[in-house]
Amino acid sequence: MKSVLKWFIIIMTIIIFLYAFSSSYYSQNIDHLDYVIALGIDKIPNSDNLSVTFEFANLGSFSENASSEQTEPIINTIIAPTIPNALTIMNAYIGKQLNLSHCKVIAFSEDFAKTGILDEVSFLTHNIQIRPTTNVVITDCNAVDYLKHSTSSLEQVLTKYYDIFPTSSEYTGYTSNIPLGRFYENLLDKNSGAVSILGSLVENADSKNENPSSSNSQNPDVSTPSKSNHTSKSSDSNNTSKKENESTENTITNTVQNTRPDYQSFDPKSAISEGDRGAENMGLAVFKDDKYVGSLSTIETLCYSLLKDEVDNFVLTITSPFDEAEKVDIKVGDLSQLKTDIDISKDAPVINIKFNLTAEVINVLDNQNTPYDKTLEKLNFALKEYLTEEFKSYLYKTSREYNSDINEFYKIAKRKFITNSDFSNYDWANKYEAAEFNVEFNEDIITTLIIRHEGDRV
Amino acid sequence: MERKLGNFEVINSLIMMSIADIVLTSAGILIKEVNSASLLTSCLISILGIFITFIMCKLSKNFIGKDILNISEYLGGKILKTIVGFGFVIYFILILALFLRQTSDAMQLIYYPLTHIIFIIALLSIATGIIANFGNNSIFKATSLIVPFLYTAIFLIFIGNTKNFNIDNMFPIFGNGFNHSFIKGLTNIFTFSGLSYLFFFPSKLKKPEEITKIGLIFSILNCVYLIFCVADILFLFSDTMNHSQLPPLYISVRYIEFGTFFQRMDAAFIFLCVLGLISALNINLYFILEILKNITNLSDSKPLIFPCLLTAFGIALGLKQDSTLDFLENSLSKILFIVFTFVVPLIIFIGAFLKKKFKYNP
Repeated sequence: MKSVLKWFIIIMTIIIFLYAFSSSYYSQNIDHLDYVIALGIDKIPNSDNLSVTFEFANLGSFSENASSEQTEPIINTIIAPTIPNALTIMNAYIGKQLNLSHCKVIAFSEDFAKTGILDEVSFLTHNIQIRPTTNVVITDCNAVDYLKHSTSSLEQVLTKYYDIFPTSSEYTGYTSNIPLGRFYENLLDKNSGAVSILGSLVENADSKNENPSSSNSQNPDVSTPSKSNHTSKSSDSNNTSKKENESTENTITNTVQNTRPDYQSFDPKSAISEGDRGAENMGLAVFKDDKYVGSLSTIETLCYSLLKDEVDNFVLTITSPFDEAEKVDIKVGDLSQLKTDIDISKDAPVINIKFNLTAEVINVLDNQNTPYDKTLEKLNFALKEYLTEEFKSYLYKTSREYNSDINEFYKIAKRKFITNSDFSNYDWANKYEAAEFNVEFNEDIITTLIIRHEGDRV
Repeated sequence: MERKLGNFEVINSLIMMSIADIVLTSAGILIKEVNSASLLTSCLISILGIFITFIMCKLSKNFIGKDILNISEYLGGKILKTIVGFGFVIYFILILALFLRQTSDAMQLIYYPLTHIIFIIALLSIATGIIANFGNNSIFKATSLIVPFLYTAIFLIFIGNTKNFNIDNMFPIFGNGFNHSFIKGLTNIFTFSGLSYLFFFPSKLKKPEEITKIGLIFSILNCVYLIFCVADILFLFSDTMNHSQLPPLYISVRYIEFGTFFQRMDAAFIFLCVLGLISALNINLYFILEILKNITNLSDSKPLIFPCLLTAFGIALGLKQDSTLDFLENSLSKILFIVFTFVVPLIIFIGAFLKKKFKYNP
């Protein structure tokens, strides 16, 4: 009798626990989940509502029978006052539970970011499903358009593309890997500024990736591709019509001829690439407190990356000191970590930065008259002058124009204070606006170059 | 007759209790309280912890093979033994309830969002009860198996996060001020929570004369774990993530990506932590039962397993509000730790030592 009672209790306990845990198991079953790979958040004009766009993984593309052709992502949009509310509505709309654990990108439109996004970023950071390594993108167009155009025929799996695109920062410095966790920390920190990846549509993005099946948007207001503050949208009609006639074999992005003397200082809002992709990620978006205040061009982003020690090597093109019509390509690398010293004895902080770089000229110079060491000296001088000018321009832009310490110099300044209250009394957040910068480079940056002499030509 | 425990098993058990506390609460609390000075405070706490452990072990050497209950009986008879015993039972049941609640909350948040917390607490309680039925052999052997993995995990977490570190988070070096960091900060010595159990081990040891060695090894390992844990959180995000419902160490694991192949280290970490926390629950329950057995002269403590667990289950279930949980974690458990780990044992050891020294020998 005792044994029967014991087994009865055991079986009843198992049944109770099976019942209790089945709801969690059922809701988290892989068959009952829809995986979101990117989120886009826009503000509806003249309304308190948000337009939250969900980009889903097309699971059909992972099946054995899937063709090698790229499958279009599934994009749905919900209008709701908050992100949690949009998630709830989307759960009801699609009939499956959303799962954000594979979300790779969170895109906010520039217009929305200008109004402050701390509440939204805070919710997303504390969401158990979203990983702190998810990339944050601020788009100069509607976030929904950015997501629609973020496809590449060079990468069949979109999730993989989202995973690897920020790694180009390590060898170009034209963008930076900004994970959600770091972005949130910087948004909360009143002394520093935050940055995020800047996403843009390319010149003729309207003609790219137009796929009615993927446009399940429920909001016509935000689904129309439009670039805010952008005037040159689809201006090249000849190019567009030509592209329509071409097949999809044109997959490699071509750099468009730019008429400006120094194309590295281009404004990232004016896209300079064209190809099969309608969107690009170059430059950075700058925040003061939790509001978007402006953007950084690619060369400014390179300055940011170098100061953060995030770029391994990069290529610069400067005007030749021997002939203004010529350009010299220089591959620059980091020899050792930069040294930053901050003088806080004066009213405004004085930030002294010393770089230790190494470089080689990668194109063959046609120079017959100047000796090798003189050529090297002149090139070093030209490079240093160029870099000093760019760095100073970048640093003063972050302080004077944006008043946003995006390179977190305040953390170095904190070394000179004993307690947090001493540092608070110094009032770094306001004093950074008046900060002075001194940038220095090591004596010989360029160590290698090849000179073609007259006799070398056959 | 229960099997006697080896030094390795005892050190691992003590470490397990400290790891459970550091991972769940104390590392986060330390960083929240002393901010950028937390690494310096951790070092100071470590030195103090090693020193106090050494002193206490030296004092207990006068009573080789006797646990704190035996010594209190020697000092004040059965009455003192019963009072001290019940005090420790209440303290350990509170710790058991806190561990149950914190582990269940984390499991619900991560894996079982639609399951009521009552079932998760019940599941952990039943699992603890079943293991306790198997006796000390299974508990201490399982702990010895898990702790090396958990210990290695903190080094891997630290190494994995190195690329995301910002060393400057440790400045200003004195954080919120000298008093706040070093006087008030010293109350965070409760990161040595394993120490509370050390003086119940001598009667169960194969070599009770090596209690000082065990104590010192435990203290040093505890310090290393604490410093790595605090450094990982401090260098990664300081106190930004302290408002999260999840332990900060778990959040730090979510930052780790070894290329694109190994990206979800948190799942492995949670698996290890759940195994470790069940071990910690069992060690705690084992000592509750041993104390009750000792003070009530019961021959078998097994009938007390489920009443004890039911009490802890009730308390864990009652900790519904975050404010109550915060009060227990931040204030009450700190005070109880200092009382039951330092004040009570020190008074008993010194009293018993003096009694032994000045005892009239005809």
